[in-house]
Amino acid sequence: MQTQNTNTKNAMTAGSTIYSEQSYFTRDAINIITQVDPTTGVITRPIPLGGIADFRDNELNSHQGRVQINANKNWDGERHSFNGIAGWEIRSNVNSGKAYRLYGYDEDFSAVAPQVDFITRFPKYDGFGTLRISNLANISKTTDNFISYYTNLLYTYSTRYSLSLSARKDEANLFGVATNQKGTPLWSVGGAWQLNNEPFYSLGWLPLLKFRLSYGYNGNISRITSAETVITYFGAVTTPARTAMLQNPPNEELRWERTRQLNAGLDFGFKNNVINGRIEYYQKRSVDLLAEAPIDPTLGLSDNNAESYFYGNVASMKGSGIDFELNTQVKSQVIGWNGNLMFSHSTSQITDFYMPVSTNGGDYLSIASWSINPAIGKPVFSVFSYPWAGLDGSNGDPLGYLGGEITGDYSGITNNTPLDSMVYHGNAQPTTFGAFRNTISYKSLSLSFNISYKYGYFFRRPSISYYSLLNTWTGHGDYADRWQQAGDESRTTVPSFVYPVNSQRDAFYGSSEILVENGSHIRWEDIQLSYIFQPKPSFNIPIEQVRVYAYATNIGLLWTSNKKAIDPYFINNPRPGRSIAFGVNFQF
Amino acid sequence: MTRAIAMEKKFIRIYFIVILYSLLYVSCSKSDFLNTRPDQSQVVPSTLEDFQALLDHDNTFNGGSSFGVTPNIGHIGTDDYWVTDANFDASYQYERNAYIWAKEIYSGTNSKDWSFPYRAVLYANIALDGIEEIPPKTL
Repeated sequence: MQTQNTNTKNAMTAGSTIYSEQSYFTRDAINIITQVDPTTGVITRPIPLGGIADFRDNELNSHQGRVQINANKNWDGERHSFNGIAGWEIRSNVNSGKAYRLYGYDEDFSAVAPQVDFITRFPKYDGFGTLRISNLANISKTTDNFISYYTNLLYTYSTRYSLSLSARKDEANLFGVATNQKGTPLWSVGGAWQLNNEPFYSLGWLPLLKFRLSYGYNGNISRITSAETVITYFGAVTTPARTAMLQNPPNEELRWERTRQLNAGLDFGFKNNVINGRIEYYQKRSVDLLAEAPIDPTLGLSDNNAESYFYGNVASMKGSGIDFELNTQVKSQVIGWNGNLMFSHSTSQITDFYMPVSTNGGDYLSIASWSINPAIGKPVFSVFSYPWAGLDGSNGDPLGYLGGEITGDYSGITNNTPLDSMVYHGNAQPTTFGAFRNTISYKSLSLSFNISYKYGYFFRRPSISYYSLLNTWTGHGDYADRWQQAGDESRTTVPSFVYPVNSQRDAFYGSSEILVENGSHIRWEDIQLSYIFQPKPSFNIPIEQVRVYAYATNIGLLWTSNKKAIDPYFINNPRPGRSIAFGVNFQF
Repeated sequence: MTRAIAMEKKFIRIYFIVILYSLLYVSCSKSDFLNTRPDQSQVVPSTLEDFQALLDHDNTFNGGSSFGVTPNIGHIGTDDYWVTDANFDASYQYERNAYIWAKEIYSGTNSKDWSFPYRAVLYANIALDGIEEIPPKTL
């Protein structure tokens, strides 16, 4: 029996952001709310002169305990062998926080403005509306409690045939969930046949050969939604009263996501471990997948952009794939090479969708990790777009198809394009992916680098939207390539600039097939050069070994399928720069 | 030899009893442990104050352009006011369509004027359903 009990309490971790009086943030905040008396010209400042300081305090209390039994028994020499563990674990994390903001903050003189009016709505200095001073005082407390039961049993006969069983149940303090629903069970049963231990096995050049088969069941409950109505208390916007906002609508039918998976694998190793690896094939079926699905707006679940979604059990899917891993190890007196190649290929498809599905193609445009496109037979995350017919030669309008005819009727296209007429590109997630790692060593010098690759997926690249440009000053470099005169339609696909803004024209262009790109790429992840040496023992300092290294990461893409060399990881954000680090490791 | 095995068996029995007791003890208070609210600010509404607070949520019931129940689209099409050409051109597409009584007003865009009032209906329904569960106070 083994017990373990750890108890940690972290000290308060504080953070603060101080906006000095000279910063734009503070000057703008003070100025926009400054009041000037129209008759006397006297100036009053509801936000006083001085800096603005935001403070945050956080405290994390964490406890953990585990009881575990280990058992090992061999019978009849090595004929029967049994290994088992069974255990129980408990964990609790309580995170409490406080935040507040101080106005008129002067760090040098430790001064803070005492009276600030958080209630009155003051007219803004630019005359466009009223404003209230933000009171960012806030307290919060979140508690995560977990209890888990687990067991793992392995029985091997004659070192050749083995049977394994593992089971686990995790319970957590999920909110608004009946007691018997708080736990998720997981079990799997497997068998293995170590072929190389068979008496008839005589392949000396392949000393490791093992077949594996397992079948398992896994359940998942969502931590972000619950079956019951949940509300959160907030202050009101117009009065100081306490009001409550709906956090989670009632959903009596909420249930676990359940997955069944079958795995078959082969492990192999050649003589002297020069090459070893594994091949694995799996098949899985999931029901009651938890995701977002579009829902009828009359249910009242719209967000602030009038998009109406429901998060719950919406679909069933099935998938399969293979994983392949190969390791090589070549070593001589002077030179050595370790290589590791990983290759995976997986496909999935939706087999059933429980919510009412729209036949309008425009409802299948969204690509997001939390929303499932309800297209049966297509991958769980699929990419659709409107067919593109080029730019109109007379005015640079983007053209699409309606009922087989080329048209600029954006309203018609948006309302009347059925799913069958949409362009289906493929999966939004890579279907083939992996990595290639290498370490080459020459005496005390070693060089290692890692290349990763992803293949078989699509993304939508952003482009100019004249609606966004004129309403929120959001621009895009494609503006420079826009159609400007007759003839441009043969060299560019960016529509002309028109005013008044036609937001459907922008929406059609933004969702057309011309902006969907293939995300396949090969990426150089990192490279490291290191030199190990043992210093002479005559030194006073007892250093056993020194390692000097240089390490570079975020090196860049080696190849992209899309012609514009857009990095699919950073479609809308700037790419982080290459970073190089140098270091020395001392081993005493 | 046999005495050693007997001693070993006795110890195993003691260990098992200890484990059983500790598991039992924990399962008694387990329900409190797993019933702790994960987020202190979240509540399952059950009291009159809770439902009143829901109905007092001003952003949902009376809020401004991004939030509340202010379906002004009908009013755009009236003759209570007029706009200059420049303001007309700068307005949202659905506003322009409503102003000129176009055949297609929304044209595939989501309409806050329609969706937001339904949010207020959902809040009201939650309150109506909820107060049915509250037993009336006897005086």
